Amino acid sequence: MVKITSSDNQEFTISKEIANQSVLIKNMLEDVGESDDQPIPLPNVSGAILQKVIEYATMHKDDPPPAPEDETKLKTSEDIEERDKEFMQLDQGTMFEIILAANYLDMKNLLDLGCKTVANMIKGKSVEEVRKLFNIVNDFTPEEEEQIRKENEWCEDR
Amino acid sequence: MSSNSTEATPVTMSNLPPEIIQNIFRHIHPRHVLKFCQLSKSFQEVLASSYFHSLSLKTLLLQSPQQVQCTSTTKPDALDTLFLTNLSPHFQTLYTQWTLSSLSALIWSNAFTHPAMIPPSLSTCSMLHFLCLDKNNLHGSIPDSLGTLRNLYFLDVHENNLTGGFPASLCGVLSLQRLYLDANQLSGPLPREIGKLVNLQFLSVSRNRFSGEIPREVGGCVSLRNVDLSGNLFEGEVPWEAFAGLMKLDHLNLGGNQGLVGRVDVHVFRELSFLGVKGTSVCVEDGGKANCKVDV
Repeated sequence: MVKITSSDNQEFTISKEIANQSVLIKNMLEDVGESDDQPIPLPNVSGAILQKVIEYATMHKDDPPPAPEDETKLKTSEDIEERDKEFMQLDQGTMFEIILAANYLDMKNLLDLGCKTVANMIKGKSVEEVRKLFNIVNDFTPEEEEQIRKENEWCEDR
Repeated sequence: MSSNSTEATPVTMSNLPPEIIQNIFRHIHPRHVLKFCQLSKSFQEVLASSYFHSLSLKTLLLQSPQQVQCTSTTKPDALDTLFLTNLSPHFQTLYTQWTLSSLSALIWSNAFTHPAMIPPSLSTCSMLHFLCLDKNNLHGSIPDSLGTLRNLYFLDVHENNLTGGFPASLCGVLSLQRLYLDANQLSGPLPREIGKLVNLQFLSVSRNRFSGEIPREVGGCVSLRNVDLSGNLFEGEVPWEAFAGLMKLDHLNLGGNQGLVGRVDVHVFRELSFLGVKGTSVCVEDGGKANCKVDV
């Protein structure tokens, strides 16, 4: 078993196969060796988020390890498993924190899942709708905005 | 379950690190990505520059299957052949600006809907061996920079509105096997350096405004099988010895060059099966030779 602690000092005891889904933790374990009983500190992840991440890792513990990036393959966001869709039904703050945690912990599948989920929220929406959805402040002057709109006009849907 | 995450600044879309934003947008077709540059200044920065620079051409192209067919025959991880058809001019410009360095074949036939020029930046495709830009309404000259494509063996730019001369730099592309410049408005003489193209098998420059004498140096192109110089303004004596020395020459069309003169006995050619001299002042002896059709 492996012990990890969150930024807010919550301690979690997880099996090695779950821990190994994080490349970061896996490498740390390899560095410190088997015998060390010290908990691994994860100062960038809160307990609440770590709990969700462990939930995901447990759900996927029997998955094959992620294949190396294949650039010839299409990147699509349409291939999310049903159980993952349910898992990602979260408020935006939690969703983004999980993405950040997956990035920090180096969990490619979870990071991809998070990014795909956000991509799906963006797809098919107008700029204004996306701004509203994610509270993005438009800091362009009307002139600047018009200029950018013109520059990118050619790639708009017709 | 306790958590202090609410004490920290909540994470929002706007304060995600750029690499995460890029990762998110990488799952969206590039056609739909650019408009989100309008979201805010920080999105513009991430999407307009780094996003596209970090995106490999093959990833991008593979996402528009209606417009682009890609085949990857030898190396599964590399884009070998690229077919671009019916793309808007903006797309074409962007595509050529992106990294095409791994590309070995570009088939861009009948693709340009608006008048365009051959992008000189194509010379950045250093691995290019197959370039097809036929029937594209292309104007301007054939860029000299194509002469830097040292792996090119197939160049086809027929049926465009190209002007200017035969690019001398092409004579340095020793890998060249097939050259099709037909049906353009190219002018001037064929350069003497053309004789350096020892691997050239097809030399097809018909229906242009090439002029001057046919250089005898063409005899240096020892692999030539098919030569079509018809429908130009070539003049003077045809360098028969040069052509007769081409052991593999099968097809020679000089037709429609009113200024060409001379007299030739088809027996001097070993393998020739077609000799076109219609519309020239060339006189052919023994036109009834069994294996060679003579078009007079």
